[in-house]
Amino acid sequence: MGNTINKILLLLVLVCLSLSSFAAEPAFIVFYNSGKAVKTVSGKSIILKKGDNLLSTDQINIPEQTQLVLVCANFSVVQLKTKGIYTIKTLLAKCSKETTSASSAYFKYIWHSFSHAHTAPEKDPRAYMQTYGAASRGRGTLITKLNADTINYYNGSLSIGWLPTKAVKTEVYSAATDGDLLITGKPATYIKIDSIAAQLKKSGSYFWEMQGQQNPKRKYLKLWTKASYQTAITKILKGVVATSSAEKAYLTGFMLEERHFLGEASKYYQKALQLESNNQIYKSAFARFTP
Amino acid sequence: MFKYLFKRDTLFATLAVFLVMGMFAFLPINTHFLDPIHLALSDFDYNDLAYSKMDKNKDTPTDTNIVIVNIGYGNRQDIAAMIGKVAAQQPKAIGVDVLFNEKKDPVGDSLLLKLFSTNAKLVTAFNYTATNNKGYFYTQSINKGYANFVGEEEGVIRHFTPHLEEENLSAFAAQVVKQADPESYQALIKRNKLTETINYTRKADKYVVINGMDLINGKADSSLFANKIVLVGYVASTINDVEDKHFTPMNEKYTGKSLPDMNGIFIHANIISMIQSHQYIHHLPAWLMWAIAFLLCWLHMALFIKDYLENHIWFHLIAKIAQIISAVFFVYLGLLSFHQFNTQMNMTATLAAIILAVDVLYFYEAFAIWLHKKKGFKTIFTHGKHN
Repeated sequence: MGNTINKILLLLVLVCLSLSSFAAEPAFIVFYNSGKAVKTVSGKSIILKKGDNLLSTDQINIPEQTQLVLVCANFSVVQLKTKGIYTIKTLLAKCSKETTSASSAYFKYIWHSFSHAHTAPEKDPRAYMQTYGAASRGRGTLITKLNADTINYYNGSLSIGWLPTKAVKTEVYSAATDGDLLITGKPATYIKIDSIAAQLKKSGSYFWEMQGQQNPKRKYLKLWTKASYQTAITKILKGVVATSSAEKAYLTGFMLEERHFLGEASKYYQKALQLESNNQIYKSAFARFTP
Repeated sequence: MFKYLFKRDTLFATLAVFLVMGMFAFLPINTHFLDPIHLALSDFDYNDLAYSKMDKNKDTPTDTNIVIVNIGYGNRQDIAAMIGKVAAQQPKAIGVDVLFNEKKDPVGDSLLLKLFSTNAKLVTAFNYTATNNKGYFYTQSINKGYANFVGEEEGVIRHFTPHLEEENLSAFAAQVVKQADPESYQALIKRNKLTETINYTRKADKYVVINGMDLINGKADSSLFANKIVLVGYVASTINDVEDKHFTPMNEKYTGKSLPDMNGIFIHANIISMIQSHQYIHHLPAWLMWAIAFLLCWLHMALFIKDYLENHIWFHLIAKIAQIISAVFFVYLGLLSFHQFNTQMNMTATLAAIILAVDVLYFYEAFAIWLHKKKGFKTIFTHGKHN
């Protein structure tokens, strides 16, 4: 009996650990793998590819003649060329060590300036032809009613409409360019982020677009975990100045919208409108969230 | 002053100035970053003052040979309809200054594809630096030209490359002229210049602009396109709309933080105006500028030596005043030449020589005295008459 309980407890601990690893932020993102560097997950080896996330609990194996370049959360870069097995935890130390000082950055700049010849556009025009004089019309003319380039989302109702009102399909991808097509929505005049989140299930970074949008860049959707989302919201709410109830609700909505927590902002705008139903500012602020 | 002009020391001191300049020029390192003025004004050309302060080309009349159709936020079907309306009026050429990077809606795409692949008067634009994707219609387009200019990214656009021989590609504006006015195009190619300086003659208000949506809806008279060069592209509706907008020498703020002032379509229009009118920007040859620099440095050196020997108390004051007056005067001369004759004079060597002259003179004096003591070299600096 005691043995069975121990096994169940061990299983629970393992389940909790694996769940927490799902929820955790990535420690590194793989930038380049010249060979067959792999990460080991549950005893299985998975070849790393550009864009893969590495968690602090992961372990990686680098074979001979392989270069692996990782990007840290602070955007510094760690390059691994030597054969061996590395734990991500130990590599994390390299990220913090590689922060640059003002002096080293200055002397790097001096060295770079000394060692690079100064050319002129007149002599080498091909090197100076990055600028072009033409407008891009890669896509169409749909413009979202809300500034939805970035959306931070965990739960709650959130629909985003566009103008001109036209039923088009929406597509959700795994990456900003190319990437796997994860979801194709039915033609509609808006996108329901809550429904997308329900289909995606996993927290993480996603990219979406509507067919015919003006800006060819995909929009960023970050699905947060409950804990990190609540922490972020609490932090924002701390900055809200208390005035009247309606005003406070509006200000909260405004601050949340500024930080792209649109679903949460919508709730507070609605609250402000409920408290002062004749206020035109509250009305128009909330109306934008109505597709 | 003139009595020192033909002294051997004056000539040698002048040569020493150019020797020092040569030493600086041949240093195998880049020292531009040590110069805060260079950094601050890295995107500044003093010729820009001709536009912003001397009103160069301010009174140029509207170019009625070119008509611009503003696509606004029209989609591909709209753009195809605009081109169709224009093409029906038999213009000389139609330049479509729009990048269509990917496929979109089947109707709009097929309409455009038919136009680009069948109408020999149409010229499409593409991005030369896009290595993988030069545009959805790139392959099928009969005529195409790169819309790229030459300049620092986000910098002032002063140059363009008419033709890239190795790739056999032409600039968008050059390609449009090739269809509309082959003689002018041939004249451009015969100049055989890797880069041409753009002669900006007109701001946006000196070109006829038609709203594309008005054209589709029959609100604009399409007969004015007959026998004209028509450019189809985006024209910003407000000063703060910076889509496809660039900095040009015509910007009223010639240095420092400002908004870009001209849409790409108007830069192409200026290039076309320049090619058609044959009003190119000329550059005085380098050998002539060096000869002028040497001559002026020689004159300055004679003046400096005279004051150094005969009026030493006032030497520094006179030298500095002479340097300032010379700098202002020769910059003015350069601007005047650009303003009046579309000819750019590179006065850098002259200014550098005059600025270095005083310091090199000190060095030369010490060297001449040393040579005099050691080798009996005859020099005017042995008299010791610093009055």
